[in-house]
Amino acid sequence: MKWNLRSKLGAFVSILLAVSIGFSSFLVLRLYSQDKKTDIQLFQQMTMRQMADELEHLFVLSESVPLDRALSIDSFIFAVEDPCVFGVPLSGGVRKPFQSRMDELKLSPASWVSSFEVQEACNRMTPTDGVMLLSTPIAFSIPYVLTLSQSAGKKRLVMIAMNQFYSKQSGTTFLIDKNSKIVWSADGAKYLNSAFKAVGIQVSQIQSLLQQKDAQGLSVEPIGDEGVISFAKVSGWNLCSLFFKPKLFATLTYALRQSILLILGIFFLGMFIGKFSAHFIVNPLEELRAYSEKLTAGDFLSRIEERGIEEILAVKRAFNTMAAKIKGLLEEVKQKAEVDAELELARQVQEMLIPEERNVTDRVRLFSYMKTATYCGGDWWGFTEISQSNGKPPLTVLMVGDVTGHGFGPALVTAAVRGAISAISDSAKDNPRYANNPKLILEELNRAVYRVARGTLGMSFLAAVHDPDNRNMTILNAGHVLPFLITSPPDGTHQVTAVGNGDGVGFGSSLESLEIGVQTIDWDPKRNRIVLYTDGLIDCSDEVTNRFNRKKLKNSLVKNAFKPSDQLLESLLRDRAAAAGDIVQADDITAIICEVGNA
Amino acid sequence: MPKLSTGFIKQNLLNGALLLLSAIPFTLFAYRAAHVNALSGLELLPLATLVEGTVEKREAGHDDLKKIEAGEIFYDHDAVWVGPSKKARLKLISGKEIQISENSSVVFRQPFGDAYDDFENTVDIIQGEVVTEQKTFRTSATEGDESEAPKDEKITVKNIFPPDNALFYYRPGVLPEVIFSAGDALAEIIASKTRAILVLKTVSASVEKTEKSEKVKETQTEIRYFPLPDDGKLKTGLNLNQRYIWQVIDANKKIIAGPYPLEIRSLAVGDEAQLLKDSVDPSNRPVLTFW
Repeated sequence: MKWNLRSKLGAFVSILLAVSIGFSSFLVLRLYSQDKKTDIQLFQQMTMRQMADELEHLFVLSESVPLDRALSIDSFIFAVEDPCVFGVPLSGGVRKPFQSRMDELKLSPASWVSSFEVQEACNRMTPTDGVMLLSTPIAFSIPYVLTLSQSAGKKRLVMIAMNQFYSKQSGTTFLIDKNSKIVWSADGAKYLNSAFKAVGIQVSQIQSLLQQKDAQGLSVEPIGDEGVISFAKVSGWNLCSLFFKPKLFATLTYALRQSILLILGIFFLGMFIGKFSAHFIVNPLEELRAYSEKLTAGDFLSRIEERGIEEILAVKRAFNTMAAKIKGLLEEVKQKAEVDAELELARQVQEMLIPEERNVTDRVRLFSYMKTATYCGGDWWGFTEISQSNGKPPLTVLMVGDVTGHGFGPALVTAAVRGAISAISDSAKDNPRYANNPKLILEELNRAVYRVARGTLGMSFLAAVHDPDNRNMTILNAGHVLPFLITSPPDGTHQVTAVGNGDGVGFGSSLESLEIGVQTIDWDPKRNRIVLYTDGLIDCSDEVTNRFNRKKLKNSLVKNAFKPSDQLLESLLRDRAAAAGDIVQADDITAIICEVGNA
Repeated sequence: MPKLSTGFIKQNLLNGALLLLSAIPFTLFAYRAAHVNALSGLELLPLATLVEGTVEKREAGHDDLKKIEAGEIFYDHDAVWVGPSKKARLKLISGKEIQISENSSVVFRQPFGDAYDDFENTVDIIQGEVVTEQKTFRTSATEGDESEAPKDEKITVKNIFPPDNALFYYRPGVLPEVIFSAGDALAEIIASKTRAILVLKTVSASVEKTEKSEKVKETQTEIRYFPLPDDGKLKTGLNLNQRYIWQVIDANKKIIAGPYPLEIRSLAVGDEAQLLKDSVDPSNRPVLTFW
């Protein structure tokens, strides 16, 4: 057997349990035993005292009551007077209930009177003697004692029945006189000797015990190997009862042994049940431990066998469910990693679609800031030029858009828009219709968005078309936030004005129809700058207020309008960041400050 | 069902041992519980059972006898009485059988210890005869104290008084007083440093008639024991017209002198002829007349 920690712990607990149960059982049983022994001893003492009192009472009666009354006392078998006078007929008689028994045995009081023992007592009796107790010379069918007493010069012989002095606990009763001589035995001398032999004592031991306990007069004492003796004083005698301990305590011994057997049985059964239960609990735990090791090693495909008691079964099911979910999660994580990688790629592609250069042409300077909320945002901005016929300088088209949602969809939409713009730019070189009607550009882009998204995504879009020839700028708005025009005259005053028409609707809702808000403003390249942005810039709300709304944006622009465009952009973003505080960015942020020259 | 292999046995060795260890006490407990009365001492043990015979039983603590049939059980201190011309066979707790003869009484007793096969400790013969497989037990305590009385083996001693087989006559109305003397036995008494006791028995005579003859049967009716003084002489009153037997014994009931017959008669008017007749009695009986 392998002694692992569990085995050692089990053995230790078992030993501890056994010792505890054993010790407590021993204490309880010992207390019970002592208590019962005391009860038995007290009972013996009480019985002995009652017997002694009764006997003493009978002795007094045998001596003192008139003869005719003596013959009416239940315990007297016969009473005769003048037993010591030879030749005179006996007076007195036998009590009725005993007459037939006497007849049966062909006995009469004269038989006892004629006995050597009685006559010897007659001869020994002195005038000062009260009651003499005689040995019982004739066998009778019930135990008896003979008393010889004298009163007013007359002697009397009384035979007293002693059947009420039979011991009820397999003992034997006898009387010892002042000289420690056994003068009477309820069961006869032979029986008494066998009793002494059975408990391994001599008469001398009783004598010495009686002398030691003489002062108490009443006691119950162990004697010999297996004896218990109780005794009580009766006039000048000691009434003794000798018991065989195994029989006296038979009931107690039985109860104790039954208790011990029950305790042992319950203990071993408890151990068995405990071990059996432990087997039921520990084995499934072992299975779960092994299964956990499998999971740790990455084996999420195997399953633990679902069997056992209900509670264990529930745990096993939970383990299997957990393994299945871990496997699912791992797959999701893997898929997400793949998606993230693709999104990163998409983002990089998206970034490539956004102009990097600050000075994109000799006439156009762009200062931009773009920060997506996720890998792939929905914002996009761009710049292109559309050729005009008749040698006119090309139109400069500044664009900004915001696709609803994030991820691949918006990235594809922006890519589609970017592609469409490239296509428009290319075709515009030979086809002046876009230059003549810039709204067509937006309509093309709307179709491109619709074809890619099939109505599932929308895009707000704003294009600012600068016509250097006419010195104006046309704001074409398809559902986008209105840009701010910064006008900075030489006198140092700066004006910030929202421009454009907000009536338009975003791309993607319809293939054919497109509502566009159009406004054409004068453009002074030395005085004017236009600020394009997406709603992410002004969407900075906590649960109560919008901390950086259009008004605050305008204020920031007003406050910093004297600064060059790059510093203006920085200040603008700084103000927004200060206003936003710890608010998490919820949408993409795009801001572009454009400076466009006329030639 | 697990396969019963060595491995299985080894694995379940402790379980089996624990189950066995719990089963043993429970089995013993159940067995002892089923025999609670016998094992706890609550049960009265049947000491004997009547196998055959019509006898009478007296239960412990009762005074009356009742007739019983075979199969009757005797417990502690129950008595059985087998009347004249009857006998009984009983089986004891030890398994042995006993036969109780006629005119016998026996009391059954529970032995003090566990010696239930000890005949003398379970059967107390009050009177009569009990026959076992090995031995016949009988008591002679049926006629007074005869068992304890001195045996009638005559020891003759010189100078005793009254003489052996003496006949004393007394005047009517006189209370006879006789001085008994141990005679030469006194020396033996003194030498043995023991007490001498005069034993005086009254004897009654009855006539038993048969078809061919008549026989006088003498029966002792009263016995008295008188300690003899140091001089070996004791005076005691006797009854007229009474036959006696006297002897001297020591304290151990050893006969020192006797037994000697003695007869006391009342001398009435007209008894002279009888006196003369007695004086020529062939037995040469000593006759003394007190007037």
